[in-house]
Amino acid sequence: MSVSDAAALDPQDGGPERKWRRRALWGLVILLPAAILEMGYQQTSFYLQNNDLVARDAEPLTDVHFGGSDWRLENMQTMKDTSSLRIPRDSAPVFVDFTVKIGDADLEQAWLGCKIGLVDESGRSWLPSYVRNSRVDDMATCNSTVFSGAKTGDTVKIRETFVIPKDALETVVPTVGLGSERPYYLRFKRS
Amino acid sequence: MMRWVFNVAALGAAAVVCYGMQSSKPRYKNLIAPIPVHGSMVDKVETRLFDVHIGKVVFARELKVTEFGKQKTLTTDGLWAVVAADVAARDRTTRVGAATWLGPTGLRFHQTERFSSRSDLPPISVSPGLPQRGLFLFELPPGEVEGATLVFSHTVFSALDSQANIALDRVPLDSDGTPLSVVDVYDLDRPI
Repeated sequence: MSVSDAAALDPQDGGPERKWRRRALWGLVILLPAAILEMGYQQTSFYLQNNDLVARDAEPLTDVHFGGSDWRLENMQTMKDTSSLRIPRDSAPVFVDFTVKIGDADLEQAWLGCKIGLVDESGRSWLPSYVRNSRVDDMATCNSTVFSGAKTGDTVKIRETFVIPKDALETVVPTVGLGSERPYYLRFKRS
Repeated sequence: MMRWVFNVAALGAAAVVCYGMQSSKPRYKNLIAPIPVHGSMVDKVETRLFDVHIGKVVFARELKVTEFGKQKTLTTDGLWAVVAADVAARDRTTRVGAATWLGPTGLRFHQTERFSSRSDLPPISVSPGLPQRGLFLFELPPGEVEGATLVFSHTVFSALDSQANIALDRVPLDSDGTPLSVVDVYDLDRPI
């Protein structure tokens, strides 16, 4: 009879082999969830860092510190006569103006993936679109500001242009998402 | 003796099971493959990000187009397939970036890249409430026309995302397999 056989037959003392087998099984209870957490962590943090998920409500005409700078929603307006614009029927342009006082001048980092949008009450969202118009020519956008060389203390005026269906005009509000703040984003109230 | 035979049999069975598992194991690209949403030309096919409905399919031997103020004619050794489809975003601004013609023989034809950027060619940017008509152009051998399926997706490879697979209607063919409705020259600047 071998030593391990003798140990397995002894009900009082499990012997080292049986003891380690039990420890290994208990180890699985800890290691399996730990492995799943470790594998999921990278994907979860990637998801959180790349999506605007949690809204922070902000008032228009008030400075809001976000992404290292102070954001102020100045204005949101549309045009009645759109005959000069090449936009779809039953749609309207929306011009959203911000004044931003630059704090953290490392905009390539702080404003990475800058995304200004409009969202209506039903949750539909729109990204900026290009409209050839004197109102937007030569105006800075969020992404052009990132590479503008703006320094700490500078004040930048940003205009984003949208084309949305006319039926959404009544309820849309602007949102601002920046890489350094995600998953949080700013959702401005209507004035 | 019996025990020895049993052990050999168990080993053999384990080897067969292992081989079966290995050969039937799905590859990673299959595990994360796009999820098809099937439909026909009468359907509006709904994917996660956009809806698509095929309006018209035209076959042509040559395409005429105006690019940068100059008129160009594009020829092909096969046929041009011009697919006009209405696309609409569901709840956010998105793009329909890729279209593939799946021929009856299993060959895949991606949209042509012989054109400069046009707003009605992919990638087509669409926003909620503002549907638009896009053109999807393919160069095909005539034998790949009948029984084809068109695949529309957000990007060229949209892992685990839905894509629209639309079976095309039957096309009347002549004796050499070319569609009867083929036109000699198709003007892309003409509304379709």
